[in-house]
Amino acid sequence: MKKDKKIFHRVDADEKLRGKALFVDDIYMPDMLYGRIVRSPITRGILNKISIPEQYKKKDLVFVTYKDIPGKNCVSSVESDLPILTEREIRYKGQAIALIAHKDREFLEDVLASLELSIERLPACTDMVDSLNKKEILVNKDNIFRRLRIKKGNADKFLKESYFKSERIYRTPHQEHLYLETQGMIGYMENGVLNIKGSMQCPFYVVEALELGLGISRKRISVQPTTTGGAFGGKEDFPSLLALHAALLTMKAGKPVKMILERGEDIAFTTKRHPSLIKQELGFYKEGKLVAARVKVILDAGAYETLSKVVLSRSILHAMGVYECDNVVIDGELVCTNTPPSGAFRGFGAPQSMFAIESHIDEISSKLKMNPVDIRRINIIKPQSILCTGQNIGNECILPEMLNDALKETRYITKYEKNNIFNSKNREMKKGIGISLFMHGNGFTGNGERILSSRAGLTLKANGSIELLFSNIDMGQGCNTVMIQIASKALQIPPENIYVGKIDTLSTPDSGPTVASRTTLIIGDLIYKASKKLKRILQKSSPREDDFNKKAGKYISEHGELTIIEDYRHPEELSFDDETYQGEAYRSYSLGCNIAEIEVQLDTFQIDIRKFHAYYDIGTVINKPLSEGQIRGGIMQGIGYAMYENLIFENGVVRNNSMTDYIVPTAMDMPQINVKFMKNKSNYGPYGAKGLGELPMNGPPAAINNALRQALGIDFHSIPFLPERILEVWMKKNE
Amino acid sequence: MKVFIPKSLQEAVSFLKENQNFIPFAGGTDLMPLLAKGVLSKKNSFIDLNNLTEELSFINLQEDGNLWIGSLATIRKLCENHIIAEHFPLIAASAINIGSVQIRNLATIGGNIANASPAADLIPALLVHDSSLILTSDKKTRQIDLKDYYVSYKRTSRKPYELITGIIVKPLEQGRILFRKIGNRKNLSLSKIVVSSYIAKEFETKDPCRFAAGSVKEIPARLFNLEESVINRRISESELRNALLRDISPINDVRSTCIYRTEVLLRVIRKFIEWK
Amino acid sequence: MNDFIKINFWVNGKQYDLEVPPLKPLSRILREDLHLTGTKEGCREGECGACSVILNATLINSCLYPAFKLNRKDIITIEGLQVDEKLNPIQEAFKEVMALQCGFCTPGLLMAVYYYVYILKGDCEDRIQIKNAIGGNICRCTGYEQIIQAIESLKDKVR
Repeated sequence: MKKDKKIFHRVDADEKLRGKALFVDDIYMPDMLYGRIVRSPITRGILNKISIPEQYKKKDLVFVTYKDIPGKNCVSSVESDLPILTEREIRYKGQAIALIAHKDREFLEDVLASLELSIERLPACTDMVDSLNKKEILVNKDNIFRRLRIKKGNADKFLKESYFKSERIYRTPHQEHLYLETQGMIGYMENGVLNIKGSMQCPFYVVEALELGLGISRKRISVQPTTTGGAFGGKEDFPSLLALHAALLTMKAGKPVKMILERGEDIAFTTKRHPSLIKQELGFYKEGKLVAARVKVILDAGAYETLSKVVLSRSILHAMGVYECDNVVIDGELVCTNTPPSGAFRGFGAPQSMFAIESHIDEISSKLKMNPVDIRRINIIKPQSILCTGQNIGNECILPEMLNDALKETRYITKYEKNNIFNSKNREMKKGIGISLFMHGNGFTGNGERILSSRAGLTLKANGSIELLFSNIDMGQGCNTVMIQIASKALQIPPENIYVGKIDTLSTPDSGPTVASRTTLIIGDLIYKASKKLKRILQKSSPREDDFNKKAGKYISEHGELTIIEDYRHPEELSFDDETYQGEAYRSYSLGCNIAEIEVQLDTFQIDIRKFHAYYDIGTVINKPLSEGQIRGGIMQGIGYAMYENLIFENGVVRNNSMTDYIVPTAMDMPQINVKFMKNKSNYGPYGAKGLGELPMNGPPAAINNALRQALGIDFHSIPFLPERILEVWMKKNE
Repeated sequence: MKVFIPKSLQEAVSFLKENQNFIPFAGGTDLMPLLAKGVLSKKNSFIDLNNLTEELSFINLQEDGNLWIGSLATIRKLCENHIIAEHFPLIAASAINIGSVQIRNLATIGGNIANASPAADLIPALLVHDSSLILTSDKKTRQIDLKDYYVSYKRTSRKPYELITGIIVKPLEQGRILFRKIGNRKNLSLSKIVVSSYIAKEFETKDPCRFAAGSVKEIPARLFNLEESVINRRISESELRNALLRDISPINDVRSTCIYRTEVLLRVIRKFIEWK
Repeated sequence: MNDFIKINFWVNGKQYDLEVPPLKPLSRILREDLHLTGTKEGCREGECGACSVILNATLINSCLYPAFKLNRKDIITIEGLQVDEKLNPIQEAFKEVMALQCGFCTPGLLMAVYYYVYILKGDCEDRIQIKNAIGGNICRCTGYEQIIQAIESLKDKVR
């Protein structure tokens, strides 16, 4: 898109900059009540009874228990096992037991403090290892919700025959999204239709959940997302539960009900990134070629399975990172613990895998007396490489080229050697430079997009403007701007004539969830096709006319408004077997390379990132400033994941559920970050674009770990790299 | 929920004499989060000190070299004051590292002292300056050394009918100083270690060094054993460590660990002592 | 000394008389009593900065400011930042370099930048000072770089 020198500003910039954008908590309705959730005070047990003290019963208090649920008491998901409200079994502290609503918030606080719960306490497994050791049996016979496997070649045989073998276990913890706007929903009835307004990524997931839980037809449900104040995956699955809660209260009260989570509640009880335990056995030939791998990825699903299967699926599909290996067996397991259900978070299982494999390969290079670059050059995917599912990566794989550019432009080799000399002489401070290569599969895994069958399109309005119709949410990433940009280019009309229609699930086509780096790729393509179709129709109706407005005017005067909806069609050449995990897992892969330059002072053991270099292949860059914003935000979340963010669970309870104690980086913590986009074009996606939202999350932890390896000569096998941990390992090493 | 809003210091202390359950409210940066979380509630009562701001936000250098600071001086005021920047750099460095711009604009030095957090950023510097507090009650004003003010975790020797009205900060002789705040990020953080130190240029004086630290025991405190060790020139690593271990009793909490607090404090102090 | 307190104060040049609980935070008064919902609440403990407003020419977290201190105070919120519906140069700069994403931290951030640029007359070329000026405002979307660039771009546009 070279000619488009003009910047496409964010279409939501003005309202957001004026403070006029309406987030869910900004909406007030006459007669509105506030709703609160009565939560389990224990991690595991049986609920016998809940009752309200006599003195509260008459004061217009709305009280809802599972007995008030008209439909099925479960939240629809990949596995619909999470109850809307507890009947008997309690599996995590904070599990919803009942709901209360009243017009006075302080009164609700009093009620919450004085509810009478009769609960039988049971011993719990609040840690993955306890569950795996079957300290208590929580579900099934072994606490495992599900197992998945990928197999290619003969890993056992070649591991035995390899010249060098390395076995390591990696662990990653929970990560909290900490979107600035906490979760919130408003429910109200209007003309027999249930209205839900709130902060969310997937309005039709909410519709499905309401249909199942309330037992009413979706024709009587209108879900209208409000401006969504950050999400990062945290508003993919959880809003279904909160919407059900708001709906139950409003249906019982006959009044609008607003539910906004407090920050402490949001951190403690909403979904988090899955903790992982990853075991890798890698076998190499003498010259450093990776010949076999046996990998086990265990994810902590929390107390209920919900959507964790697809997270595990992405984890195992990314378990080999960017490395080609002929003999692979990858096993995935989902384990149940008495902690809040884990859920979607930017990267969706891939960041855990990428951290493990990229750290391991780097560690092996030193064991094989190779430098970290050479071992990568030998093993990374190149054009025509075959991935572990048998998928041919095709010719668009420019990873070798990206690696070369990154090494050259950052002078990695020189710096690596200089650091070694510096470190041998200096006892106050150590320097390190570390590299990571990573990728991210775009869109839903395997047949996911085929099953979703997204629909999106546009309407040529009577006044000649174009309304875009899709149900994906602009939660900050800027998809509304990008869609207008795509339509504007395809129709060759100014963006001012195009706008995004307000989403109402009663009328807006279902273009699927706003997740999996799929919006530009899948919905962008539908918008592109609808735009081209409109162009052809108008051309046919007035073949000799060049001016769009005149063509449109003529068409409207003859036929009226025109709506075009495109249905998703899965590329025929892509197929995937959900049983054997063979085939094209993703249509395209976005690639990245991070290089971190760090210093560690040997008094405080804090890591200081001096420079962070970030290279990406996201295909054609549709909107550079927006893409850069996504990338930089993702890098900072990745740096947070690697260095700061430490959600402390003690016996299934989050200890640091406040913004004071859950540490995310501030502007002062931001290092110098150089971002570069490689030139490339994808065969799929509008104008050759690939996905980018999740990709930047995958690189930073390993790059920083690998820099630490050079600086301190220590191999870390888990994150975050808190100074407390670094100090203790350093002391042990130097005793 | 009751709030009493006196117009003058005299009105405030006479009221407090009769209503000792009222909690003094200055900048509110520590109290408001407690109200939001329900730790404090409508059952508590407060006495607003903000009408006393003009009376109690002075920063005056006295003829004897002591600096008098009114308890309602904001942290921002400490950061911007030229006398402090020039003659009391430890105080300036402590102040600038507190919270954020927004917090520094609201929070007061009196509040930082009264809240009695072991992690309070200003206290180690004030301790190194051998500061004392002026406590005012209805009929009486008394002075107490800051080092004697903290009794145990979050408990002080302030009587419920007293208000902190001023802080007297003594100047340091020529020498080297150290201020370090170690938090979990570069700003907007609570200290996991905060340390202030001073070593006189002329070491043979009667008061050659002072060390104080926060977040390493239940109250912010002077490190007297360490000072004695340094005065007696017992400054090998093991001597310093042994002395320090008698001064501090750090804990594991959500912000840091006992080992980290001990080891890093030791390393930072050693580096400062050995600095040539 | 009762459950409600009478206060009189100015917001964006308009005078208000209210009767509210004495410890109700300014952020809630703005949002609920005055329906000025541009000011956001992200944590209610002075940590995130989303509720930042200007009060008597200083930047504060409005969630930490109780009603009883409000008498005769003069407040500027995000709604008062633009004159005659035209975007203020800071807002223009944010728009130009796309220094916003979800928009939830944006109003508070703009107030912090307004304070730094217009009230403190801060240096728009000193990155360290800029970072310090916005250090009390957490943004989880942007990674801050574009926000800093927006402030840097203001060096010839204000004063």
